Amino acid sequence: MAEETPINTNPVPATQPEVPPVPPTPAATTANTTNTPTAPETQPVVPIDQVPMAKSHSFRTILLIAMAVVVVFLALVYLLLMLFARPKATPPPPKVEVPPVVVELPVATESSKFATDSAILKLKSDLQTLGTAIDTVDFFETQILPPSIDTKIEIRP
Amino acid sequence: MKVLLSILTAFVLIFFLTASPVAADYQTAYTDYVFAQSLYRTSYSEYQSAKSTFLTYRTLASQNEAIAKLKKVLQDRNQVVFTYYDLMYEKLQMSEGVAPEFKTTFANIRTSEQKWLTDHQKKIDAAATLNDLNNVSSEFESRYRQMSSETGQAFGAILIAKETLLNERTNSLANNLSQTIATISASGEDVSTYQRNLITARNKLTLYDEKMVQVKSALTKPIGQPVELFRGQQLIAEANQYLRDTVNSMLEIVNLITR
Repeated sequence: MAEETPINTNPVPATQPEVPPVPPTPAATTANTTNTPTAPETQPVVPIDQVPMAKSHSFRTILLIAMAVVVVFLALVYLLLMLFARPKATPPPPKVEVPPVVVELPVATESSKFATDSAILKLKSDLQTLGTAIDTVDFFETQILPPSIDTKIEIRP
Repeated sequence: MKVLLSILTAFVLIFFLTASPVAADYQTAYTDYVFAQSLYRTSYSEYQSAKSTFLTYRTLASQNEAIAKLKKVLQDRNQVVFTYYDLMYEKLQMSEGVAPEFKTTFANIRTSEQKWLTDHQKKIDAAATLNDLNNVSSEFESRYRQMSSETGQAFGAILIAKETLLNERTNSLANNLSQTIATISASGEDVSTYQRNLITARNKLTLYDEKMVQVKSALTKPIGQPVELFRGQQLIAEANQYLRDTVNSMLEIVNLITR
């Protein structure tokens, strides 16, 4: 593996020539104790694009604008996701399997030899009749239910 | 003309000879019973009103009214029971499967009870005071337990007879099916499935028999003991379901045979 060389992020050279301290002059010493240093009277010429903007907007306004930008950005991202991501998420349509068409050819089925037996057909008919009779039998006989009468009829003063 | 008249006479004679007098008698008895019940309901309502008025005001007028209404409701109650005996008698006569001995016994009971009710009616007519009417009413109350038991037994006998007839028909068809299976077996076919299903069907009939023992216990009581009518009806319905299952199983066998 190649050995990584450390990136020097410091713009200042690693080794700077040491400047010997200049002994302060008596005038400067007195001025240091009495006056604050003032800016030079003539300022250097600064290009127009480097001129800092005047502080016309408050911090709150900037914050609001930033938030609005973020919201708009998020909305755009969401819209894009909705437009492009959704079709991928939907499951593929189920495959419709068309059953093979089976053509049934008439097959000669052999029915029971008792299918037309008169005795068995009569037995079947009798069973069906009996089934109907069992289903329709009346166990409640509402017409002959005992009368509902009061047996304790009396007036005792 | 004479030919036409003779044909018409013949038709009329045939109509009267073939018409069921029992059914007509039953309808008459039922109409009389319903009418007696409606009279009783009206007089009972009036009796309650008169009783309330008398117990509230205790005036002579309200007492006379109470006596009149009490007498009327006792007469109407008597008539309801009288007609109910007629109704039960006619129903027994037209019911298939009820033992003739039971019919004869009930006919005698009906005669006896209706005689008692006729005598009781005379006592009601003769009573003129509240006290006398109360005593007559108490006589009815003690007698009615016996009457209720007698008519309840008749009711039970009618229900049991119905179910017994259905059971006899089911047993008969089960025997027919058994013989049919035997015939098929003799022809060389495999009948093991049919026989197995027939055994299952007959097992249902055994359960039916057990249920009918309970039915008879609920609907047949010694005279004087109340008949468990509602329980008996429920048990008969359960027994009937076993019959239904048996018939269904037999129908399945027949369908297998004819398939």
